[in-house]
Amino acid sequence: MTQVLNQPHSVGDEIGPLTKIPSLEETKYFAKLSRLNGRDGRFLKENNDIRQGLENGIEEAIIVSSWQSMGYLTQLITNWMPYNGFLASIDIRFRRVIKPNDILICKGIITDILQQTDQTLVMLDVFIENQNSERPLQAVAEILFSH
Amino acid sequence: MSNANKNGEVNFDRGVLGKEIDIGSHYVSEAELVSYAKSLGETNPIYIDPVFANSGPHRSIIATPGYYTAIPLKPSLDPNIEFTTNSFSYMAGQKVIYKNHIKAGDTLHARSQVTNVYTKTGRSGALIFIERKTTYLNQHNDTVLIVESSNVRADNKL
Repeated sequence: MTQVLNQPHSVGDEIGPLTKIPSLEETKYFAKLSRLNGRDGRFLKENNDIRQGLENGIEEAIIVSSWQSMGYLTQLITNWMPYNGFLASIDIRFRRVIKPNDILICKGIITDILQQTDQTLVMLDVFIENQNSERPLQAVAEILFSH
Repeated sequence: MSNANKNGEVNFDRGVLGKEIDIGSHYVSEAELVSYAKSLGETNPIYIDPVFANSGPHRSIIATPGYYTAIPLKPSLDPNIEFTTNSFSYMAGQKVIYKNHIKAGDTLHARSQVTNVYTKTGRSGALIFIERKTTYLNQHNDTVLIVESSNVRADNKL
């Protein structure tokens, strides 16, 4: 067991849950803010469904962007870690499409804690579970805590 | 018709592999960071409250971890794969290595390269993966983050 900002953490401790239900309006707003439509570049290529749905007014075609769901998962982490924590890396796998109004429960578990000379490295498995008990996003994250 | 060569490897412009190009720069405003954070329902004051953030540990609003995805950039090099089906591509995975916080007032520059193109047979048929590495630097030339991404597209006639 180690101390991170006076809070004891152990391997196996769970973090979260953080529940998100992205509405269609929120999804469209995020897509607009993230320039997922109407702009040439890599985002168009990577978000064909969203772009076509937005441009053609086909709301059924709109899916929640990978970036939006990734934002939820990283929010789970930043909500949990105190200000001396630093998200050093996250390795995400996008496994399933997320649609507006899906119920997304973001959760995580501490898988390892490594004490180093002047910092502590905490490893997390984090994921999003939907209303069908599927995991559309899974990730491994590394958090550094300075002593 | 197939886009694979006689060894079953996908045909693409191999000249793009490892060729790093500048894909643009972007000034990061406080308003943009706050809007982006709020669009995700963020409530942490270090991301959305300038008064709190300016007196906090970073002395500035900082970017949420996914903010980099909203930065407008030019496309990276295209390996020019001749896809034989009309399927769409999607993000399979990303590894993001964070080095420094992105702060309001930063000007970011990004460089990108195609690092790998390969095929794999999944349950639904042939898949073509394109991997890229994008490095973001701030105005001090410090690396703020490195993104290793993998895009996939089905191509069942491979």
